[in-house]
Amino acid sequence: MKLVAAQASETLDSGPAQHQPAAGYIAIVDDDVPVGRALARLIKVHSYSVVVYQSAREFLDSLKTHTPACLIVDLQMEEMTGLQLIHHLADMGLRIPTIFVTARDEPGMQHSCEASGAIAFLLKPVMSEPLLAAINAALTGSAQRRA
Amino acid sequence: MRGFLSTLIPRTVRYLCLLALGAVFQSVPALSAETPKRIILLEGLRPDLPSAVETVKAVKNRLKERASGKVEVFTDFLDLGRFRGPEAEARLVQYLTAKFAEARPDVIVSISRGATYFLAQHRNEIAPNVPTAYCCTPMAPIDDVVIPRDMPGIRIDYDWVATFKLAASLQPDATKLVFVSGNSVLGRAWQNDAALQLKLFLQDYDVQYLTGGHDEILKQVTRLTRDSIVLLMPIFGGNFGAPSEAADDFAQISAAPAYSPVSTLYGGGIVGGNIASYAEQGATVADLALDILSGKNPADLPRGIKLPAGLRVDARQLERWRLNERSLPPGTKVEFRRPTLWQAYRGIVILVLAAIFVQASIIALLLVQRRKRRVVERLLKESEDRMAFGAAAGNIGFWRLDTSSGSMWATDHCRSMFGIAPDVALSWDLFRNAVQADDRAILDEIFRSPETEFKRSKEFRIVTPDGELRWYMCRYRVEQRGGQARPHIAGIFVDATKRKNAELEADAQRKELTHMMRVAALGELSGGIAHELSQPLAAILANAQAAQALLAKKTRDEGLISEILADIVQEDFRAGQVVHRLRRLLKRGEQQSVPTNLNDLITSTLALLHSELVDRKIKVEIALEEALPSVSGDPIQLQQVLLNLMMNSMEAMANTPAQKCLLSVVTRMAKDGCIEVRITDRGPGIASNEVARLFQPFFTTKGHGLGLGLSICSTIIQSHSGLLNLSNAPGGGAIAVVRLPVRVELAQAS
Repeated sequence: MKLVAAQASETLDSGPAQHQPAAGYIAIVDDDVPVGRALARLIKVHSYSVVVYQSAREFLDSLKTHTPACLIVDLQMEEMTGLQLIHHLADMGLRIPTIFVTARDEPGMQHSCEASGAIAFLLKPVMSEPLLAAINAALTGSAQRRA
Repeated sequence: MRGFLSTLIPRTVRYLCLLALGAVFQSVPALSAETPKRIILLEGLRPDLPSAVETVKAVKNRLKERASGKVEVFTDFLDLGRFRGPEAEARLVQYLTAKFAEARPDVIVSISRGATYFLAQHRNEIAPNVPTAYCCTPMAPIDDVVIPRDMPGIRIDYDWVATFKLAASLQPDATKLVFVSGNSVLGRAWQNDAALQLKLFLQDYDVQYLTGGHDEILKQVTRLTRDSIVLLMPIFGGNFGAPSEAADDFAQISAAPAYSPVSTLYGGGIVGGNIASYAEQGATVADLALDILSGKNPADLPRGIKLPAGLRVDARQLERWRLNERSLPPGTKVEFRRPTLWQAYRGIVILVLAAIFVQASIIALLLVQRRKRRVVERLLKESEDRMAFGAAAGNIGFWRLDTSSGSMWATDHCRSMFGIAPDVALSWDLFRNAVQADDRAILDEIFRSPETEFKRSKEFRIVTPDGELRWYMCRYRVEQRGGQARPHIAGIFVDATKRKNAELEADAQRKELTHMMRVAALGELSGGIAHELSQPLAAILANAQAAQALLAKKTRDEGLISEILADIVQEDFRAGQVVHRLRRLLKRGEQQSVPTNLNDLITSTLALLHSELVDRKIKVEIALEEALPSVSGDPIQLQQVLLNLMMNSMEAMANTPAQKCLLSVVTRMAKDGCIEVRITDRGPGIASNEVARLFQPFFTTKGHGLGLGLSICSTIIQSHSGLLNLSNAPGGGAIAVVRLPVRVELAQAS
């Protein structure tokens, strides 16, 4: 038996990835499938539209067709970390209100994230209240920017 | 030359008119067949007198030596001392005339003064025209017989001066000088002659002349004082019998030492004197006889050869008178020595001496043996003392057990090691009962050791009377003895508590250190582990709060709630797994030996490291052999090794560009039946100067490492009968290879 470390792509519990998500949808990028799924449920319950991506690459691909109103990204991911993704987006000239979530509270990390213009830096496990507040702030901000 | 045959005819006839006749016949064989020459020896006295015997023997010896032809020697003893006077002489003349007429002699030799007188007077009657020769002591001073011109011979003068000087040197304190001459005219003539020779010395002494009869002289000599010197004359008188016999009587009974130059008196009781040698006298006269036989004219031969006399003393008399031999004049011959014990009993003496020597040797040998034994005993004692001291110092107790009778011997120290009093009778059970109950089986094993066992060693614990636990080591040997039903066992007990405690302590410290290294490793991973644990917790929390929100709404999507709950269960299990892995590594405990699958351990370890690997952007490539057999070992310790090696690989790649970082883990069955785990990194590899020190404790290339990781890994793998090796990988980086033997039971089962 040969095991390969590469993660297999999984489908979302909310059904197949929406080809055309509702406007002002929230994107979640987390390579830990159960965590991404759970966060999506929590946010969806509160009547937001959510799309989960398992890697930075997958998310970047989706940007060709549509842009989320808010990005919730795990800092620690294979291939491309959350911070790298934001820097990448900045390079692309995209400014998406971003909420960082991480299981590792490394010194300096919060500062780097905030410096990148993040809305919030949340430690896993994430309670719903600060998360929803951050989402709300992000969506409001983006609405203001749009307005 | 053949030994001579001599026939001695002793005096057998003693009637009045017949002379005692001794005849000696001797034939001296010669090579020629000519008629033997006859030599007649006329001896004036008797064949039993020493002077006569010695002289005749000397004559015969000389003739035997020098005679060229065949010579016959006849000897006639005339016994003139006892048979005297004209009648006796006439009888002798008649007898000899008849005898020589029958066998005519060629030479007649007279020996002694009397025989010479007789021969000189009667030779024309008894043997007309037969040459004659003589040898004798001096003629009397009043000599009225003229020795014929054609009768050569030897005479010896009496030297009274030398004789006197001998006496004076032996008796320097003497005051009296006694002349014993008897009442004959001849005797007194000798006395005058002697006195004349000694006239110079007489004035110093109280001189006495004993001129009486035989008995009177006997009385007189017994009354003499010890400081007298007695001089005996050659002739005493008519009623004295033979002079030599009378002289012997006087000398023997005398109260003072007697001396005389008269050879016929010597040996019978006198101390000594200046006396001619019979042997020389005999030899010289024999030469004269031979000269005559060879045809020389007797008238041309010397008449009156003077033979020198010599000082001679009788050792027996010296002893009798307690005279000092050392005061004898130089050159004095001491004769008639009593044979010493050695001369008399030489054989017996040798035997006795030998016996004594042997006995002494045996005694000496025994003494030496005894001494040696004592030395050996002393050395043995010292050696025993040393051994006892050494044994006590080294805390060693000696013992010996007879398993058939159960009887036992042990040193005092051995007893004290087991708390057994010195006066208690020993038995194996006594020792056995002192041992901790758990370990008594070990002593039973020793007791039952079969004869084939040899030199064994066992350890057990005892509790001393003061409650202290001690480890004893027993080394013993089973001694085989022929004919015995059960063997003897000899051995020692050694107090091994210190060593044992040190071993136990070292073991405990090693375990503790191993555990601490695990904890430290996990500490390094704490960030990653927290991530691993936070992920499921985050999922659970989000799911739970989503469910809560759903329930708050009136529209219940039960399908979704059920999905959420399933996820919660799943994630909780996932968190539990992380905790379980952690707990397992943090646990401390005894080393186990259980079937362990290395593939499972590798997967589990990589799970622990997952977060760290992601963080460091290290790709993992694993190639695990399917159906890998188990090894036998402690899974925690083996995982510790894998964890340590993988973390080392990760550390090694700290400066490797992210796109090149690769951790490769491979398992495979090696051909020699070992399982091989190869962990390869893409780091800088091992510097050549580090290779030798990699496994040394406290060697580290890391800034923060303790340097114990590889040392402990190596120890763990070795304790699993395996091998850990580190080297540079062919493609760069380092490769760690762990080789462990396949668990035997499983291998057989499959």
